[in-house]
Amino acid sequence: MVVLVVDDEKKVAGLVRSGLEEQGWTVEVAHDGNDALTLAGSRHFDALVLDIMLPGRDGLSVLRRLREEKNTVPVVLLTARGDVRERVEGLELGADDYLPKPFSMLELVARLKAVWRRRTGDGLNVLSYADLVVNLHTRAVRRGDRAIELTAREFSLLECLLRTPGRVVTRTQLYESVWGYNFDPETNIVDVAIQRLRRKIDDDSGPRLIQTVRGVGYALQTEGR
Amino acid sequence: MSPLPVRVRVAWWSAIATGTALLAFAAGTLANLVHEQIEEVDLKLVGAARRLNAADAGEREGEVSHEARELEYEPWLAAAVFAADGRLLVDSSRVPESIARAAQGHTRPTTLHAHEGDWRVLSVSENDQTVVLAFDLEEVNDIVADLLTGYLIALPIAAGIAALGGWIVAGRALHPVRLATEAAAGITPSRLDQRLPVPPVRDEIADLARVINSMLERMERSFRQAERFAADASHEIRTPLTIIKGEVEAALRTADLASPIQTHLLSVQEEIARLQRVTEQLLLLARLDAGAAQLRREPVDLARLVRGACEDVELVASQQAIAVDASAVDEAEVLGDEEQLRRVVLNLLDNACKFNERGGRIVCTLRCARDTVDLRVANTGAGIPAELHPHLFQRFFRANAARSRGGHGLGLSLSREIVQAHGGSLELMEPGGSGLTEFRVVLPAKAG
Repeated sequence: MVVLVVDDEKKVAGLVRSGLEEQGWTVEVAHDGNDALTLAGSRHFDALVLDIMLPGRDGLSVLRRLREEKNTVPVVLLTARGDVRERVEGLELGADDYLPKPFSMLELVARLKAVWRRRTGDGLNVLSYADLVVNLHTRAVRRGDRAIELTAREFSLLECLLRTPGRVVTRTQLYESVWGYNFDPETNIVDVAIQRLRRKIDDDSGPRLIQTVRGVGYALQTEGR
Repeated sequence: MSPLPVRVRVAWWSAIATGTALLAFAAGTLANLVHEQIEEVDLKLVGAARRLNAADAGEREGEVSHEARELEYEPWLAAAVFAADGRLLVDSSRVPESIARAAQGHTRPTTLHAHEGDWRVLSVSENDQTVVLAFDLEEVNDIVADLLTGYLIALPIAAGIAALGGWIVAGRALHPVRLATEAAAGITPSRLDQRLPVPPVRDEIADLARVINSMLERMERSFRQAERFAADASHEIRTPLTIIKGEVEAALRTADLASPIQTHLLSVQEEIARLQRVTEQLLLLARLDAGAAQLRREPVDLARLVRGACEDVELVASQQAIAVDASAVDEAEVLGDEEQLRRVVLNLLDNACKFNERGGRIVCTLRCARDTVDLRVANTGAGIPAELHPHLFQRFFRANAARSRGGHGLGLSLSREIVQAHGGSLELMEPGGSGLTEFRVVLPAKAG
């Protein structure tokens, strides 16, 4: 996958670049709106990560121009949290999704994958690991032959772990992507929710998939790695 | 008079002033009329007396009596003649004898009242005889009475017209004030650039409009400043936060499991999350203060939101063996911003959990009245001491208990601002017999 990242903050752009490159994707970076338009016109991109606040031509204007030129590349906007007007305007102009700053790379990768899935059809709506199969569209979860009922929060937790199987997701990351900032981060809500999820996923079904990484977080992994 | 509207007061005082002036005028003209009429009568009486004197100078016997009769050709005038011993020598058919007798000795014109009518009398002594001249005042009284009646009818009419005039004039005078009021009512945080119309003349109302306009200008400036501050601060804080967050995540990915560095990084990550939470809340508060928060107005299924929040809080509550009772959550819909309303509900539930006791209860109820929605979150526990109640909704206020249980004291004040921005209210209820600490949110229900 080839992604164009547009952000005038060089450090933010650099972080996004390295985060996406870890996914094995190819990343190009532009620091202002006009560069972004030139780049986007000169070669094919599978997705665009576009900051709204840019010097010169701002993100919304870049997006408008792209759509006028019939460029249908999927776009994820980086917005200020809580700025409803920007969000609504962005979506109306044809953005595929938005992500409020400050964001987590985990979240950005997930959004890009989701946008990409929507563009390419149903096939990628299904995530699986070992004998666990999760359909993101129908929200059906199966472990082997067994169908599993999950609450909305449990589903989000599982989805979060499934995005980067084999990798540790910290407690704070889980808290942020599942509960946003609405909760006191000092409660152990993540641990309790994981315990319940584990009871549904792992109890009486073969090897345990949800591993605790003591003091750090959780990972989706078959035992004895 | 103060509770009455200005127009009514002006009309009232116009009527009073006009009535008083008319009353004084009427009294003056009436008194003057009476005085003039009596003066005229007196002239006639004195004239008649002169004629009698002249007749007397002729010294012809019986001349006086004759002359007295002659006098009665004058209408309303009567004459009677008495002898020195009081005998009535010449009788007049016009004047009653009682009046004539009473009139003897009045050598200056005098008014006598009797039930036969009012008479102006003058008595003249000639040799041994006394001539009494009397003038019937009936006609004079009639003229005065007619005028008085006229005045009595005219006075209320004039006062009424004055009141109406006052009403109309006050209405016209207040017209610019009404325009200014309408204009002022239209000035909201989103339309702060509006100003009151200043009438083209230099009068009190123009001065008032100018003063209010300059006040509005100062207000607009400070509003805009607060708004800009929120926008600037949000950008300036978010960018470094994004970078720190990304750097920590990247470092975490390469750190060895369970190494001291990883422990430090995890701690930093937690603090970033906390900082981010406080920042978001502060910026939202700043925007609400500036009236610049763009809250959505979309139908929100409040019942679903509340049930979901109860499920979330149950995860935390179960650790303390606290039961969450959401059985009395009725269906209810409101218009508003789902994300912000969820913040409110979660904040209340989170508090209910924090300030609870082991094995306690949280009771969440949602009721829908005709045009309001009533949400209550109650919890067991030590309760909130009465002396803290006035400070509960202050920013950065934390009860001592809260200090040890996390939280930064923005939750309740932010929740209240959000609820108020939705046209609702958030309050702490008086502790009832149940001994529960209860917060209540009232929101306008979605119409229809």
